[in-house]
Amino acid sequence: MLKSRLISVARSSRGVTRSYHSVDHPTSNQIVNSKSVESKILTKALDYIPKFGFESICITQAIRDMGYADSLESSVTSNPIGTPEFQLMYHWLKVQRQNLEQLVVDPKSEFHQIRDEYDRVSYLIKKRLEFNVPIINKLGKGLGQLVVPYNINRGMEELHNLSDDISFYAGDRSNDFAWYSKRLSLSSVYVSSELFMLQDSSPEFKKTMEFVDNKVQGINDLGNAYNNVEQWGLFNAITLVNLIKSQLLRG
Amino acid sequence: MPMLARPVSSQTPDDETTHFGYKTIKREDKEKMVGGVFSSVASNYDLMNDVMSMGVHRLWKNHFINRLDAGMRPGSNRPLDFLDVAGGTGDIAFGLLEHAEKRFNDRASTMTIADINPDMLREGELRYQSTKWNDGSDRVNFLVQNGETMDQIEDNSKDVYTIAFGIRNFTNIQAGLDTAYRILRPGGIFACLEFSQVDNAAIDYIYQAYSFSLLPLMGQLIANDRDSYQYLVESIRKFPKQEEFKGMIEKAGFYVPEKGYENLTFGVASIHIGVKL
Amino acid sequence: MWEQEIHHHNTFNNLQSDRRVRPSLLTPLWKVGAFGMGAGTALISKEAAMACTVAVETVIGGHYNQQLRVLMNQYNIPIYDKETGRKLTEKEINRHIETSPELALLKDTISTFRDEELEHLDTALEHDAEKAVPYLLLTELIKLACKGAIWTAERV
Repeated sequence: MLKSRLISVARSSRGVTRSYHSVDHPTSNQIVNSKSVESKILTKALDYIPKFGFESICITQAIRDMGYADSLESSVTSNPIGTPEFQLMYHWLKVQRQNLEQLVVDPKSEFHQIRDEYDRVSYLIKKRLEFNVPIINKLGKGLGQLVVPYNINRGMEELHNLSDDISFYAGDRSNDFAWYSKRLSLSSVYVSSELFMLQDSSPEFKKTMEFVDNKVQGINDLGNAYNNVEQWGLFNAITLVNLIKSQLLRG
Repeated sequence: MPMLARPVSSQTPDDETTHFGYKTIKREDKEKMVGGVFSSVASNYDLMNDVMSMGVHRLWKNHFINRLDAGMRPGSNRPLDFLDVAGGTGDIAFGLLEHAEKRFNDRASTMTIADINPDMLREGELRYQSTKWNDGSDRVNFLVQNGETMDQIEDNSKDVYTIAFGIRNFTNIQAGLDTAYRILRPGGIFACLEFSQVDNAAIDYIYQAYSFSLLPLMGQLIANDRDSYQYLVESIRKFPKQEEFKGMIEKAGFYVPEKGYENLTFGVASIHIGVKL
Repeated sequence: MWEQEIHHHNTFNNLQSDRRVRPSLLTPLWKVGAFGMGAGTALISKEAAMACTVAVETVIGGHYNQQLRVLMNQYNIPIYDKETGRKLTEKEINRHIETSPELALLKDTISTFRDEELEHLDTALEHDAEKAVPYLLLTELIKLACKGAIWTAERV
């Protein structure tokens, strides 16, 4: 019981999860298992999304390209995770998260020039939104897959994973409640930016990028406000205790 | 009336005996006794299933067919070869063909229905006469075959192997799985729908109470055949759990995609998938 | 004692950030509770504050021990002798078993902290903790509260 709480590798969402990212056992943190057959099929299928959208025909094409018979598609359709269209979207999200990770880990990336935490957050969100550009016309339907009641759990889980990743890469060291509020606000910024991007027609999505900057600045201000309130609260509590002590001393 | 188990002599070594439900019998007798069960229920097999699962088996079978979503896709030039094992009466087989035709306009894939029991197969052939696939083309054919050997079916000759509520009756389940691996082509799918273990303890209690007390009684009343139902209920109990069966599928050489099985109705039935790569 | 506690707090905070572990949702509640408990017992008397320390240190000592047991026992995975393939008994397993530096560091950290906490326990006892008036009631109540908090924090 305790051991599963103390050190446990991230489990899929079913209730409360406690993830732990090991440093010495990095394979336990893998986002996409590139060896498994389903993952190979889905990754290949992603190439067809700009053409066909999030439809099962992408998977059919991918299997044909790999040289297998159509019967192999049953291994994807029979997966209890969800419909093939949802699996495609879910896989897309995971692959983009992995791309983001590779961007951050790459020593030559310009990410390492940015020092300030909130600037890093802005940069990462913008980069992640840039990954959407090749499929931007089909993305709406894909996002629609995520809010279907049956899939909503996994959709939310992936969103949380993305915000957690971005916070961590940006260098967030908050513990306690700030951990939650940061990720929550990051998730809402990301979702609103993505929705904005869907109907943004400005060249190179300039308006979306400005939107992201504004929103992240908003979080920054909010975070400072919370810290100030907490400090004020603590100061008052200590003062109160001292006051009581001195009163008691007086008799 | 199927034969009841004879007492096993204490001199018989262990690997010559197997289980027939909860009775221990000689291996060579099992096939005959299972045969006896199914011969006696062949004509009202569907009724028996409806009674046993309260009609839910139709939902399970539909879900099974939908999830497999098997069929030659538009734009492909090679039709698929289906094999439905232990599916004497043909409901899964015809369901698969119907699904392929409706979804993908696939009118070319072939179907072989194999069953060890000639009476069940005859029932299937009778039904086939009145379906639309009885149109002169030899897309559908019927074979009396033992699922553990399948001597009339060549290696690497089938694309989809389905077996619904049949594999628990095999004397040697692993042999059946190995044969399935042999006859499938690379890229082929093994799909098994079978009764399995319920994962929730409370529901399991209710389920056990229902199946052990109520079912044989219903069998006696409806089909006048208590012993067949008794055997069927006991054979469900003896079937390996989900994870164990998944291990057996892997042992046969199949690649099992993540999770590997889907529990239906809390685990009363389960769909297992294997892929030959 | 104060510096050691600060050090403990900071170490675990840093570990939590480094390993990307999710902190408990009820952390503000624990903060308020801890502050209230400490301030409350201090207001009663100096001995009560010491009694509070005794209770807390006992619970934390037990908690650390439980975690060490888990880490040492290799998660109850059996270990086999390399040459003969025989399963090793508990006595034969090297207590400083070769694991990754990450887990070894974790083990050492928790061992050290547990020893320090038990020192604090002894210090508190030396400072007349047992002289506090409702000693038994105070310590048992605080122990119960702490255990409940730990159990909840593990889950929420």
